[in-house]
Amino acid sequence: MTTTTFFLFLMPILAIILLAVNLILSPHNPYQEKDSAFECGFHSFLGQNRTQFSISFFIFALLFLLFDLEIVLVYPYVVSAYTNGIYGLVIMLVFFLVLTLGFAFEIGKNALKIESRQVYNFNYKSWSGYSLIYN
Amino acid sequence: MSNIISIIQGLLVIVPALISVAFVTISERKVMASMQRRVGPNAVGYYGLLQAFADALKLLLKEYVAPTQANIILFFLGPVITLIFALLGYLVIPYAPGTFISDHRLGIFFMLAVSAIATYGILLAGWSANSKYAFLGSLRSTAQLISYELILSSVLLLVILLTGSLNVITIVESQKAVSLLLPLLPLFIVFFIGSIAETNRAPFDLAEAESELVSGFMTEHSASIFVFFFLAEYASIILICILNSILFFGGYLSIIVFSIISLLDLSREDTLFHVLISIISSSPINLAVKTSILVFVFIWVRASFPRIRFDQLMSVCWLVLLPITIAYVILLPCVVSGLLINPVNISLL
Amino acid sequence: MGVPFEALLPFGIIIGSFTVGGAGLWAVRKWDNEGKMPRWNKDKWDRQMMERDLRITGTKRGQSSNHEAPKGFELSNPWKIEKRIF
Repeated sequence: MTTTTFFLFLMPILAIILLAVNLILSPHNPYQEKDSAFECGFHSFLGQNRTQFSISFFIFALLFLLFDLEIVLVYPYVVSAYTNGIYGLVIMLVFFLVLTLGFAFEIGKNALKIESRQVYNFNYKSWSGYSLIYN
Repeated sequence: MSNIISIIQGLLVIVPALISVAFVTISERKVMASMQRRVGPNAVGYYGLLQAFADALKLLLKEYVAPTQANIILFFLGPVITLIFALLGYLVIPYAPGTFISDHRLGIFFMLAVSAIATYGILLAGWSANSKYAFLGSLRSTAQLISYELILSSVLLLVILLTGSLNVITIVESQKAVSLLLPLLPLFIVFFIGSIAETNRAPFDLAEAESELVSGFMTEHSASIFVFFFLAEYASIILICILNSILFFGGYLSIIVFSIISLLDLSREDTLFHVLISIISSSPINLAVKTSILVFVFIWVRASFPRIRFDQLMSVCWLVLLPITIAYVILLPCVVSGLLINPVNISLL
Repeated sequence: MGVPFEALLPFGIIIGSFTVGGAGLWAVRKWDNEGKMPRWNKDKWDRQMMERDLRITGTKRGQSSNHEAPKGFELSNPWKIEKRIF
């Protein structure tokens, strides 16, 4: 067993030991009020969760996928920049140019905006270049 | 015999990590108390030093609550996944030249991947609790973590461009002449902001904003599974501070001692003092000091800045930090190729 | 109030524990590797050379200047030569 393999096994063992200590040593006395969902007030309402959520989260996840893929695709160029030379650089720049144009399009479409009711919002009014930070 | 050596090596890495997790919590409370002109915890042990152990013991002996509406397996699996993958990152950390557990050639990728998987633990825990606070907290946390991970990975891209290797030790050793803080200062600032957000720390702790969501994704979690989240959060703080010091401050190398050696021309002599100073110039204590300073800055940031709104958080990530890093990703390869200073990746030749 | 030294004590313990752990790991790895520091960022060529050294000298990091190859080194692979059946 190499050290790496042992280390990979050590972490789950540690977690299981801590969990087992808790499950064995602690008292367990459940009743209905204790085991219901947390809510300030009297009774918790089921059915308020696992319903719709804001579409912005989904859009962010989608864009994360795109951009992370983009970054990951550039990693092979970066570790072989010496071998690839100027040709590889030009290809990488073209690749990035396309994605940067797409990113600018997303910003222009306000896809990266989360609705907020606050008036002095970070990007409250429509996009007007320089007023990004100051309005 | 080799099994015993493996076990000793694993314990030598993980025990200091867990001890420092405990003391980071207590140092956070003490430092924030000092900044707010309070005393802070001072009852348990000398100067309150054993407070963290007392807390952990108390939480381990508490009753665990398994809510009836939750998916019990996922409910317990989420914190376990978070803890495991927060601690697995210590696998590739070099403490001194040749002192590491795994010398993986893709070490930096391993660290990135492991910190990315920890997100799934938060997502699972928040979703399976079936409570609206936990659900909203895990949604926010996931959106925040994946957004800021983008920044971290693109800054890492540039570090790898300048060092020419994905191996962590090679990245550290290539900073012998000058640490990457000087050429990449703006990126260090971006990376530091990203790492504060990646560890869910104030001012970016929207996932567990006490005033709006009760305790975020861990609202329903109690006892040891709460300890898992707690340990994982602070372990990832230390891990990302170590990553910061490896990428930008030269890891275990001490620039000051190196400059003393070169100024006084000590490298040619061979007495005990000179051997000692050359050992100190690349030893674990440098990494520990740099990491502690960065942890202190994390606590300092938490004590100084108010929490920002969630839409502001995402806007800062996508509209300010990401364009800066992408501009650097385009600029820096052009500069490096233009000046013909591409580092040679030996394993490709 | 001066410098609140109490708040700095945990940082001292963090530095101490990481230093002790790192130094222990350093000692163990050095002892495990015959008094030399382990090599890092090994590529395929390095691994092949280390395996060849292992076969020549019998230890992981040993090197030999003997110009006569030891017994069992007639073919440059570690497998035993199997007898032909037919």
